Amino acid sequence: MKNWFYYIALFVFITACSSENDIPEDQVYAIREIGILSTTEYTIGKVIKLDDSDLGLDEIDWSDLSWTDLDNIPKIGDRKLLISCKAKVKAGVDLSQIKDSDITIKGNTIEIILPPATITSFSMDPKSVHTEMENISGFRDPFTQEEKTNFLQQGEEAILEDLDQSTILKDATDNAEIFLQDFYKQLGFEEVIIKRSSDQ
Amino acid sequence: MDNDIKRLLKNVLALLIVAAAGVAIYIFVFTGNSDDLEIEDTPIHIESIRTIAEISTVSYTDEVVMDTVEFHKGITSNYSIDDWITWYNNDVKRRLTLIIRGEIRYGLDLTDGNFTIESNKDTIWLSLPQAKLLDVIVSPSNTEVFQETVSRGNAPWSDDVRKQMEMKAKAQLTEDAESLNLEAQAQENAERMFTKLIQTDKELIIEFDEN
Repeated sequence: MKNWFYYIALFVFITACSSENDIPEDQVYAIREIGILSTTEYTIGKVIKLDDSDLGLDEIDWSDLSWTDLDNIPKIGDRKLLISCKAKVKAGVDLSQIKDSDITIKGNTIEIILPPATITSFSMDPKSVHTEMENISGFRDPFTQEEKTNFLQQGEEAILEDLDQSTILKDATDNAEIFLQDFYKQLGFEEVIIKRSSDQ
Repeated sequence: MDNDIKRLLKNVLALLIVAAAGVAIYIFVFTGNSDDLEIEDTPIHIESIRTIAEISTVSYTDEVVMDTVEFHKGITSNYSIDDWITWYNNDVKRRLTLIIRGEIRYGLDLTDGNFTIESNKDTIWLSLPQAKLLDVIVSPSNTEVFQETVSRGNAPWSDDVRKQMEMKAKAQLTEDAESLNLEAQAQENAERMFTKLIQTDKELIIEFDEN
């Protein structure tokens, strides 16, 4: 009887600690000075497509299977998901990178070296994210919010990669040039020469 | 007595092995693990292109923790396994905790060419619009699902709940930024930036329109 008491006490001791994580505290905010001129805004739509049913037994190398590969064993059932989302992407130039030596004035002519255009902001409003289709069959679990967030993160990366092939940076540079031409002409300069930084 | 202990340990060990096998079958056969799941390659659609002229001069970054938790109504039976699990989870039925990092930018919107420059021999007057909130930047890459628990027999968290939490976080970030009076700092920074861009011997007077 005494031994049973020890076993029960040991079991209670081992299982007493909850594994629940503490909620993190808000971090201290940061305010910083910037000088970004955004000149182009693209609204991008994308459909995020996920098919978690295409694994076949023939795709597994059974001879070289380890414990870490067990996740890849086909599950009973399919999971399919379609999410549509919209992102607003702005591009422009960082005016704070312009040094005094990048601006040369000779009489009524001003010459300015423009920093390279970059993506200045990427924003995806939660309102513009919609799950269009979600299909779960067999013994599969539904998609968790953590998984969906992961897919949206992958979608964000894919949008930014695809934007490299678009004209967004060229548009941003052209528009920045037009803005600065107009600005310096209003200041009274007759000729405004804008050179692009050698990084471009 | 020693034999009893040995037999007990053997039984416990056997039970543990059976339980571990059961858990392994459940995890590896019936549940989906998304660690390696990759989305398919789909094209992007450029829906609109807009020419703008926004000068952001202040950036405010912060993070907000959003926590939603639902509790069980209480233990109904001491003999129910579900109630034991409920007790173990501190009566928590479902919990979703998000950490959302965002950036808010203030600055000048010159998109409509709403600035004027006048000058004479000695002075340049630059008239600019008031600084305002330009961007509230939140994105999936800055959103973390810190905890998502659903006890047995309860529905998973819906997209609508997550969306509402994200929108609330966005509103919270905006509210926090507004309380810091960043418009004034944005205008000070804009003055410094334009003074650097307009290299002149004349006196430069920068004014911000009231309306």
